[in-house]
Amino acid sequence: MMFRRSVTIILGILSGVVLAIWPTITDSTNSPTEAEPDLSVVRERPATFPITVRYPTPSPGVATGIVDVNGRAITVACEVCHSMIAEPPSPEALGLANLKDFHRGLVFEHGNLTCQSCHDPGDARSFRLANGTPVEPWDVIDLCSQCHGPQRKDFDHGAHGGMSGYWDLSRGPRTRNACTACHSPHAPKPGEVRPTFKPIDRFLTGSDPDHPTPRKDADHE
Amino acid sequence: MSETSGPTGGPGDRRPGAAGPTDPSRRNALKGLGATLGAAAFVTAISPLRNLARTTSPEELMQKHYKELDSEEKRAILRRLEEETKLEYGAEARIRDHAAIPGTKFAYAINLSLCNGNGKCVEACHKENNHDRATNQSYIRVLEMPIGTMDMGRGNTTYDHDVPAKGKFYMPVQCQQCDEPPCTDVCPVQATWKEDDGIVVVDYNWCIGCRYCEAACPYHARRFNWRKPEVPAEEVNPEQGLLSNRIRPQGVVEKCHFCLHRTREGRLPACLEACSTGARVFGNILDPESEIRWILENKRVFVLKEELGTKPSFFYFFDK
Repeated sequence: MMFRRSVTIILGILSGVVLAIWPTITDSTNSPTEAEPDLSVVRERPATFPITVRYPTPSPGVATGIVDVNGRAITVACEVCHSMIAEPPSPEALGLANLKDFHRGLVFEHGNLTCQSCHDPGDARSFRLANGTPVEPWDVIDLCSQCHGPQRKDFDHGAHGGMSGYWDLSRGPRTRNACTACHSPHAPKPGEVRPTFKPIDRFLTGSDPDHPTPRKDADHE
Repeated sequence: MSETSGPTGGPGDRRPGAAGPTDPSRRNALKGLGATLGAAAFVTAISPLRNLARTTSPEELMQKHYKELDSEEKRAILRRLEEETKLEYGAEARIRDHAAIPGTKFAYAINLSLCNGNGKCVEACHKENNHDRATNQSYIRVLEMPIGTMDMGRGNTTYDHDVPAKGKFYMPVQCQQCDEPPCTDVCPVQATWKEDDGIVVVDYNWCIGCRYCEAACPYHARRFNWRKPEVPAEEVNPEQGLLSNRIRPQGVVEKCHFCLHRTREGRLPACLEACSTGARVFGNILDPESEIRWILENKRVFVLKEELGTKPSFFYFFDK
């Protein structure tokens, strides 16, 4: 009886030792925990869903000095006059400084460009590249890329312009923004904005019922 | 010395039969007092347990660690949590358990030349992740930093003037999904861990709320639920994940999970979609064709507090 019990104990200790050193034995040849990431899954997945690019083409508009009920300035689009009653834009009107009277209300802050840098002199609603090649409104990004190469490169690689939808195009579509979705082509520099959302600190604002009085040492942060 | 502490000296020398402690009525009174005090102390000591019984169902109390659950148990938990959301918040939620996609490791990058500190990402996170409304809780802080330093201590999160301000740049900080996360190391109950796709998650039912992880995180990325989050029924985001944006219980720690209920379905995180400057880039770092890989290969990226060796999966860069 005594003999059998000691044999059991010895067997137990032995198996414990083997179990304890087993991972080191197997690790020396091939580590199962540090396996290479399975890249095949990524490479085999085809991109099937489309990328849509939003391309609003804002009309430049000339401020009339009148505001609507919401306080927004009412502007008049160029073609309101230039397609009907007025003459086509004069080729001599090479910049804001040359525009007179009514046109003074047009906001134009885009470097040294003139209207005809982008607009076709023959048809103010059409665009053309510097070499005269016509550009469709949805290809407006080609127009901008003539000068803004680095931004175009970033855009092509998803690093400019933002996006929404799917990072994984094998699972769903994606929407992107053309230049004019965010930048006004006539005054492209983004303006200042008011931050929309701030955390409310429970100690500093007294919003917490347990700490109703704002703390005096509020600047310790 | 030895004489003064001898067996015959001092006030400890009391013989049986002396008056005082052996008085039967006094002994009974002391016994009664002791019993009363003991009972009161016991009641006070177990009062947290009585609270627990009021706020915690037996199923929740007995729930196993996330990693030990089989699919049947998970399904039961998801249904229970949906019922609780309906009962406590009046909202119909669809809670799911999203597994990591094989061959995926997520990374994030922010272009600090573009970010203007408008806070849209902070707000999007707040709404997407069912944060407490009273505190405007969010996983993201935007630091307004003086140009010329990367010292997070000099950042300010409470600016409320028009942005971008002169001489400042804006740096959003959220969980950096470190490859060497100090927060998971310090957890005494392993309620937080790093998943295969790089996302550090929390088992909200296993967390004991000790807040060690909050102290260990060098990026101040973890949040503690001091109270039960309050979200109006109509504002509850019904698309929820077990390890992500389902409404958290009181007394547990939570953190940014790269919107895993979205990103593990192939979608972009809420903060990226909300960004109005296009400063945020997200993707699978194992895919050589991904946007995030292009950023890492072509921009001069840096990580926050690199010297700590936390190896973040979160990168920052400037254009100029």
